[in-house]
Amino acid sequence: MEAGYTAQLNLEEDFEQFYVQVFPMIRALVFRMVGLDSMEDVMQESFLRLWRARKNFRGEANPRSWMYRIALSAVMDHLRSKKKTPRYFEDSEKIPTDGNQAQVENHQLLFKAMATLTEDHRAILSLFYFQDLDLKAVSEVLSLPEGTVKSRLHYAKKALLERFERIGVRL
Amino acid sequence: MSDEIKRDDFLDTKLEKFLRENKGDLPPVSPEFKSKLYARVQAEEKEAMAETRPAISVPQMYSRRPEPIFFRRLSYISFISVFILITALSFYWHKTSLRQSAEQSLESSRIENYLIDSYSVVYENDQNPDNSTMPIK
Repeated sequence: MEAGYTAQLNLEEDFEQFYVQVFPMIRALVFRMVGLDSMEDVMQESFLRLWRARKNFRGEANPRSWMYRIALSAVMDHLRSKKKTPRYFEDSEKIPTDGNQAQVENHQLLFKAMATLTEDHRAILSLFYFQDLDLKAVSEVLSLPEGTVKSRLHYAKKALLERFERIGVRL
Repeated sequence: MSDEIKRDDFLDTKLEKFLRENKGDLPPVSPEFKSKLYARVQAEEKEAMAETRPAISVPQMYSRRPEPIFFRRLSYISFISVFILITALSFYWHKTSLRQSAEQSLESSRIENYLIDSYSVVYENDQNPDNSTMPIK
């Protein structure tokens, strides 16, 4: 009984620590990749994968890149199974309203354009610009050479500019 | 050409600036998100514990089966014995059959010689009836 109680406490502590460490990273990545619709489901799946994998982490890779890689694999599995365009701002209550009106509009237009990009382009833009990873870290997350990441980033930006032109956004 | 590159660079810089400035805020998660997640983690941990626990006790595990090395050795020995036995038997059979065929051929050559000799004596007696002899055998 005593051992069970201690194990329960340890689990709670471990969970709390891990949650605090991982939550912001998972939320940011998952929201930008899948939108609001299935954000929480995918976040749960990503967290569980990270929880399971944490025992096997040997410290050889950068912990941040390692976490993003596992979370991104859950995101990609979800996107491949659903095959639908993410919806970011369907629910008006959930629209982030901080900042001035122009910023909110820009934010919404940006995600409208992002939603029409391919998963690979969305992933590379999210990691590089929104998660603030450098080229080396992005190449670790995607298991690609840095040169390939650079060229993919170039094509992703080009595709995003085209979408901006289509929906009438002027930079 | 250089104008196009300049334009691309310009747009690239503008886009980067736009992306960095418009990260926006992230939507909140539902209040029960964390508790739901914790329940799933707890269930996973319970399952993992059940998987690692042995299904039967250690003494039971050993008493269930006899020593496997003993059987392995026994099977090697029996295989080698059967192999030796078969080889010996086939060698013996081969030798016996060789001897038998040699004896048979010797016997047949003796009969043949006897018949030839008999015939030559009869032939000589026919030619010289006064000096008739019997084959000596």
